[in-house]
Amino acid sequence: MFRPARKNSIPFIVCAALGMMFSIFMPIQPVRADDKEGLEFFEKKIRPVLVAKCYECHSAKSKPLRAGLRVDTRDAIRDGGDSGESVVPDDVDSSLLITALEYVEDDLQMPPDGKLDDQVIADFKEWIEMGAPDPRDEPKSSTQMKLSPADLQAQKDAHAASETAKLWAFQPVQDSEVPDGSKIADSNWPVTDLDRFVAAMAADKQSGKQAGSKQGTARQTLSFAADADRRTLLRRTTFALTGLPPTPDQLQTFLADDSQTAFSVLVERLLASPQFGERWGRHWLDVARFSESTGGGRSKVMPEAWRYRDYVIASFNNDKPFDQFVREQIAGDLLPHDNDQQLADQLTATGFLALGPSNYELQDKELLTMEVVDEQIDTIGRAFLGMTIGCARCHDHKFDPIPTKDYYALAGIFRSTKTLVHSNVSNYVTRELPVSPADKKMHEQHAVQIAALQQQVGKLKRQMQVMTTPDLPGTVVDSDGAEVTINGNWKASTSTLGYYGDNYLHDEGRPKNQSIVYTANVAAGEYQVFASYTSGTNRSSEVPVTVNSMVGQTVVTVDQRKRPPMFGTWQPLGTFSFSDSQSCVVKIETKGTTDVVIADAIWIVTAKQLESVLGQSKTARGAKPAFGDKKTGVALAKLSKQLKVVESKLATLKAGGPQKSIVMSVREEQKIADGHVHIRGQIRSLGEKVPRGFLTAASWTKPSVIPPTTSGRLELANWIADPANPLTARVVVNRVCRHLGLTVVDTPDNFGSMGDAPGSNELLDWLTLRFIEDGWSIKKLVRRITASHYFRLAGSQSTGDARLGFPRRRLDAECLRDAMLAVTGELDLQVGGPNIAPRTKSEYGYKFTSPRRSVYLPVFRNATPPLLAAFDFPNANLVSGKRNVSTLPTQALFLMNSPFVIERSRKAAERLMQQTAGADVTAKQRVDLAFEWTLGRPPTADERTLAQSFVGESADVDSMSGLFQSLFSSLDFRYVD
Amino acid sequence: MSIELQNSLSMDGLPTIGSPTATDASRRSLLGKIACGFGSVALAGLCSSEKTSAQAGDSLVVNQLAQQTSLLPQRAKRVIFLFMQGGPSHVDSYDRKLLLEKNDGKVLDFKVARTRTVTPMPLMASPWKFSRHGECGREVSELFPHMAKRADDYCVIKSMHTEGVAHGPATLFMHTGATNLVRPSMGSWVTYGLGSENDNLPGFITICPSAANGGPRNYANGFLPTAYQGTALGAAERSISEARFQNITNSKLSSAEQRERFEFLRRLNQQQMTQRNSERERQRDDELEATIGSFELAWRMQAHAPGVVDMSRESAATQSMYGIGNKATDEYGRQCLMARQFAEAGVRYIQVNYADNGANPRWDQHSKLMKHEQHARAIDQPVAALLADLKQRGLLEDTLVWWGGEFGRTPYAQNRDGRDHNPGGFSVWLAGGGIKPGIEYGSTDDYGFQAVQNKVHMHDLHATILHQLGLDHEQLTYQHAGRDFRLTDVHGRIIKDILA
Repeated sequence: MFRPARKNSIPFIVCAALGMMFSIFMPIQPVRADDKEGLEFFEKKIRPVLVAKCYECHSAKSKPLRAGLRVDTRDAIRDGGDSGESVVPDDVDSSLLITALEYVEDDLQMPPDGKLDDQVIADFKEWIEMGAPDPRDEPKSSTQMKLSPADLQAQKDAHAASETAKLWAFQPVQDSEVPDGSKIADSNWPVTDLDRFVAAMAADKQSGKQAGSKQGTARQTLSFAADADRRTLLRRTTFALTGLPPTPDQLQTFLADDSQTAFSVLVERLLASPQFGERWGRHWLDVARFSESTGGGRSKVMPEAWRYRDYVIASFNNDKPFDQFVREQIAGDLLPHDNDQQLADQLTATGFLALGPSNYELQDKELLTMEVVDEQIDTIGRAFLGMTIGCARCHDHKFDPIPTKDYYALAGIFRSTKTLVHSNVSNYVTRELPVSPADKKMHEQHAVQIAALQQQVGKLKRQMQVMTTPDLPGTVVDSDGAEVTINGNWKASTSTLGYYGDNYLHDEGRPKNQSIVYTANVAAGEYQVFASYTSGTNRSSEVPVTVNSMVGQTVVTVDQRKRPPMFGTWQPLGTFSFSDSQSCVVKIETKGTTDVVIADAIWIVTAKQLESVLGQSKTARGAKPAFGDKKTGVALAKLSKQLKVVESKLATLKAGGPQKSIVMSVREEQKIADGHVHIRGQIRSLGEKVPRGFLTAASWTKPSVIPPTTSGRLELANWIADPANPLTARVVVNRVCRHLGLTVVDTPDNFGSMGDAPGSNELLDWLTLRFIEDGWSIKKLVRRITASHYFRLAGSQSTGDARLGFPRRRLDAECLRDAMLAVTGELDLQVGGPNIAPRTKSEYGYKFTSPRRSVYLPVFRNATPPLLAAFDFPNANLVSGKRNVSTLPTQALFLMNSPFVIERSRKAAERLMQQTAGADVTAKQRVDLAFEWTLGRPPTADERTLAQSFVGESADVDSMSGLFQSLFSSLDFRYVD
Repeated sequence: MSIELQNSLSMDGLPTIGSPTATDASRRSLLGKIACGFGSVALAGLCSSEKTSAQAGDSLVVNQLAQQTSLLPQRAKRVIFLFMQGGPSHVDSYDRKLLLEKNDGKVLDFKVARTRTVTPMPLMASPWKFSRHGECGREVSELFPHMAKRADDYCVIKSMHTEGVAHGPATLFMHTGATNLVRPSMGSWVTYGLGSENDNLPGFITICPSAANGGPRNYANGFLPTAYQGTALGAAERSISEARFQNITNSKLSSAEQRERFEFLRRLNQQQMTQRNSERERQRDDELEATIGSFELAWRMQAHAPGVVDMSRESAATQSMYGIGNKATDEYGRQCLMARQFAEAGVRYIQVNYADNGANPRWDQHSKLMKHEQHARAIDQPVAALLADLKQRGLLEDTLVWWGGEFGRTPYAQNRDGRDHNPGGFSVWLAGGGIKPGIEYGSTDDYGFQAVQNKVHMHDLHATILHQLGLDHEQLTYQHAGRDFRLTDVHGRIIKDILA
């Protein structure tokens, strides 16, 4: 077989260094003269493989080019791709190509359809060791010229800056003059300044339309739709502000009030009602992808999530300034607080970060951590900033000025935040809320009782421990002794019996870089060495224990899940010799372990001494007490019985005592650190390190410095909620407008270049500035919009065009259900509190029977109530600032045939029959009442004729439930004008 | 317009939507505006251009299930996916390993997928005998005698690999192409790309799906519009004989009463529509018309859908071929026969689940591998019968049948007599729909642990199936959260060698 003469003739290190020098300083390396054979080798063994196996994805013709890597020219294959240099001549170890071919790393295996033959891989190695001779000398065209990293960065920055300059949403919010409204036909039409902006927007639409048509006239006056009647206005306003229909009483009150202030009185009443927070809180819960189960493969119920929901509802009811609301959800745990209630609120708010969808079962915990971080970044981006930052996880954002580095700057913040507790099926972080002063005493007393019992347990355990711990010959070094060096955080414990001395040490499962070193000075000679630990199923099965003896270091791997063979305490490490100068040093490490590691004591004993111990008791290896006589055994049994009694008391006390309030939350991670870019989003493919930070393109305020000791969440929260941030306030103002029928930007979660442009920048900015001036008050913004003339226009199919009218909207799923329950009188208006049936372990098969408002129905990711599922309830896995509005026959089938609607119709009929029980009630009266209850208006003459012929003379329960069901299905019930 | 239509009633007593009395303009305005969750009214091509700009959150004002013209030649019109939940063992079914037999009990080092560490594990030979079948001489274990007899009908891919070591992630990956992130199910992508072939049934049906391991997410539309969500018929662990489409019938009312109510509602809605039009509207509201139309479609579905699935239509011979009436095979036999009836009725994507609701699903034998026999018995005859039946009816030509689990199992023993999950190498088979029958593709290593030659990633399988349906997996995209998404993310290769 062909072998080049110079193979291995140069020491390896020199070879590698030369290779690097070549690749750095001599990018265009001439073919070595003596490499004719080498070139032959390339043509014979290398080129055919590259062509057959690699060119499809890694050549000039590849579309798309994978991993930024080309292997079809000499320079390209050496420069490499996103992951680094692919071929380093003379240096097999640094050549990523070989790593990929050898299939040694999980994330870097090429070709993807299977490992090449070993012989082929050997050829490639040989070729590289030959200096990778390669004749493919294609000159680089100017576009292919590889830029230096600095140039590349400069180019990217320039690009980002120009994108920022273009994108409207990144421009500062600017105040503008209120339009004069000269085009408005009726000068009395505008009631508020907002109306003048709305009219200007309509004028833009009108002229835009004319620009497209051939006979556009430059000046045309604007005229608007007629006003809605008062019943319609009441129904619209009540649904918009509370998500409920007006009651017949409210209807009468409003109709009877013909004063100028009737409408503002109505708005104030609705704003003050707890149902306002329920409706508007639900809007936010859509955005916050709120759910009460994890979703994913093995979906877990999250019994604490309701507290976050209640926090959101209360925040809207209390009109918490929205900037504060933003800060609390991102960094509530880090904000200062004046009292326990505020602390509790702020902790609860951080549930926002914890309640995203996640597959806690994912076994690759590193990946799981990053997936959760990704979800947090994506949600924050879309919910608060209207930016799709998640796109930058794998590459620079293709449309918006968000480079990958920004993504990983944010990722560093969230990787320094603890959201997960890992185990086979991981879990979210929970925190206890402060106890109210009233309950404090109760809790304290309970804690004292528990402590007392725990003390008893400890005492009994210690007694038993002493009785079962023999006096050992030889030398014992216990972990609390002086000859022990403890590195890292170990926790003393007595929970599991079988340890030596007073306690043992426990690494709590992490971090995995700790150790304990025991040193014993023993006389020269041969000894048996033992280590003790308490076994358990959560222990690590491969704990490295290193013994330093005359022969040097010996590593023994100990399985701490198994009970130690000697007395249930001691694990033999082997026989070792020590000299006078060489003391016995034993090191227990946590490196490379996955579960809990225990360190207790070391025992060094000669064979003779050991024999004497073993001779003491024939039952030494048994589970029974190893030492002592019968008397000890009896005493031990007695103690064991006592222990059981006390332990069961303790369990009862714990279960029965006052429960602490638990919320889903986050905390600062123990290790605060900047992260690396993950090349192409691959978690194990690390690129450059990026300091924690925010979006670089969005440098409207002086970015605050993130201290090295904190995650940076607090700084991020302040940056997002800064009034100078052009995104946050605009995004929320736009959301509020949409909920009130005024569409400015129709992609509420995306203000980037792939989203819609605003119908009117001036309108949005003007409202945004007023909103900030008003202290980020949602209620004031609602007042401002509802006070407009626009809000009182008659309904039509439009999207915010005042010429046509106010947009007619379909009742969403919750309104539909709540309105039916309101008609039947079943609706339970209890505000807040837990809502999942006690002892619910799984969402599967959950019975959604509660008559409470829909906002209090449990939201499970893998089990949605049928009505909500049929009527476009948002996917609780995704940020949904805009709900789908679909028209499906499954919805019609639901209204026609579902047990829920059939039952509601009957209940409504029964209620109506009860209230009209008198003998002289006519069918007409019953029909009229049914219309009033469902549609908030009497039937028209035609409707009445139709309905009366349907219910007949008797108008009995059966026919009336038929009427109710039809009314529930009718256009005027399902739509709000 | 609906009033105009009253004059022309079809057999159901319903206005015929395409009737000549409706003008073209009004027809388009009605039909075009209904997002027919189930049906479509032959609007092929009409709305396809609008779809390209679809975005999440758009009001559905196009018929999203209108049949679409595919861009590539279409070899398969529909898919039947026979999902073997839990991960059937490939080394005990189609991937015979001589060295495994020879070295039974020997301890070798394996890089265990769960822990990513190299661990010594004891090999365990298959307890079942293999023999050759069909003209192709395929080796099949004695677990599947019926499927063995049809060896010439399908192509076994023996070099599958996938992502996710636990059931949840791997099951989601198989259905949606992602272990954790929320993505639409493959059936949703297919109906999004191709629309539906029928008027009265959903385009994507999953029979007796599991509530566990992702549950509804495995047939959910993710960020695609609601019209593309899968419709569950029945549920795992419940007998398919009791399964009904939700809300398809009203058991409380006689059909005369239902008709009376339906007529009343129709008139009431027309009345309300007229009132709006005459009183205060400047223009007609298409969405309201669509809402009225949705009741008419629903009424038609109510009349037709229950009849599509009807066991009594099948001869005794057919039923017994599927194993109906035999305790072991009755359940899955009914499901498979139902799948054939759906295929005939033009349902686009049909999934037949052999599944339960446990965290350790059916084929998940971490211990007691012998339980594979019970599961094999339940599905073997029904699956073979489905192949034979589709073939004799000429349906196998354009129906792609996919048999397989979310991953395979390890060649080494777990808990002495079981096998652990194995995403690194396993087998699935494909039949019909333009796939070369009777061949094998790819291979695993000497013990069946890792796919090594001609590896096929789950993304590749997805890409290949889409290709057979006439869909380019790189072109089938949907814009969500600011970018275009695909079933295959940025991956996927079409396995051309298995295409006929």
